[in-house]
Amino acid sequence: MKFGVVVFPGSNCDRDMQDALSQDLCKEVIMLWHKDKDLSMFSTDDCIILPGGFSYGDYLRCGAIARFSPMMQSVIEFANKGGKVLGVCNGFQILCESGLLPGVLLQNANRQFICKNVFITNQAGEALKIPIAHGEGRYHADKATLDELEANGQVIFRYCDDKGAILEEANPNGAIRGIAGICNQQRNVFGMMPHPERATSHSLSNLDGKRVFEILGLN
Amino acid sequence: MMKRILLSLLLVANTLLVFSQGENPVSWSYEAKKKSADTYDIILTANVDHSWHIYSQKTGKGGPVPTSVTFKSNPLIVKSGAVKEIGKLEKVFDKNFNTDVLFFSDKVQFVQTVKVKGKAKTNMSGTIEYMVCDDSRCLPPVKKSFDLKLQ
Repeated sequence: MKFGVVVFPGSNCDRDMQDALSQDLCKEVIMLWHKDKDLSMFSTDDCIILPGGFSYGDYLRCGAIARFSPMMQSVIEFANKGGKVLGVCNGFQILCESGLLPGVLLQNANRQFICKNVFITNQAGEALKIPIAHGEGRYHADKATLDELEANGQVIFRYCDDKGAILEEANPNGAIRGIAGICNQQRNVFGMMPHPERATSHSLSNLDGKRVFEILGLN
Repeated sequence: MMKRILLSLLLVANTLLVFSQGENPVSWSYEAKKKSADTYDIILTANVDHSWHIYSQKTGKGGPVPTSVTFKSNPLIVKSGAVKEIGKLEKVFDKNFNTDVLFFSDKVQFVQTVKVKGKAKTNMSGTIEYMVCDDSRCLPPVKKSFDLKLQ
């Protein structure tokens, strides 16, 4: 599997993602500039990643401008053909703005930027320590959408405590139903607020990010 | 003389240790009973030894510590109503406390109905705090933790 990492003006986790994928996961990585449109070097077995940061300064709503970039038009086409797409943090916001994933990311409940390690759990109940760093990461959707996500198993990660228990006190940003990451119904587009690329190296004393890529089938 | 004092102290300490470790008149069991696709009854059952009493959540002020259940807040769970008590509730005037008290003997269940949002798998955890007395003495309040899977 080959990876493409899109660089928007204001992206600041693109090189972290590139390093994690190439150095820690030993993958081929191609950096993609937001003004380009060419994705002909990727097949639907490959994955395009929208990294974290503050694309276009996060003016208007986070991700609202990036969604209209030339590269995003190609990413949307790529996803609709079945290609894998992962959005992390600002990338998750862009995916929601572009309509590839349902819901929105609102300002954190405490109205503050939060940067710390948190725990997230998948449906198997694992507890993975992954860092977050965001001001607008409170996932929200209407009840019908949430129930549909639950029914289809599209909620891939929730915030939890270090033992995997889903508790309100372990929810750093007030995300509805503790949601930290979701996927689309076809299970080829993934969005999550925590940063797995910051937890893939022994030098960071945390390899749980590798497990995240594994759970998403991106390893 | 010194030997006798030391022996007496040892006996007293030993008696206190055995007394404090041996007093456990309530055994608890916990269950999450599925009622429908998204509704569960969280059932906390107390089996109380003969001659001991456990107190209702509604026993009045000035008496023993009422039983209380605290659930950890879970974004996937909505509680329906209050914690119900299933058992034979007795009301007596307790001269030790100089007030009316509400208590259960033998067995009581504390039941909380909850709804799980969507079809999520999750768990419900929390603590139950209670105290027990018999006709002449009371034991200090105790907190017990529970953690139940809802799936």
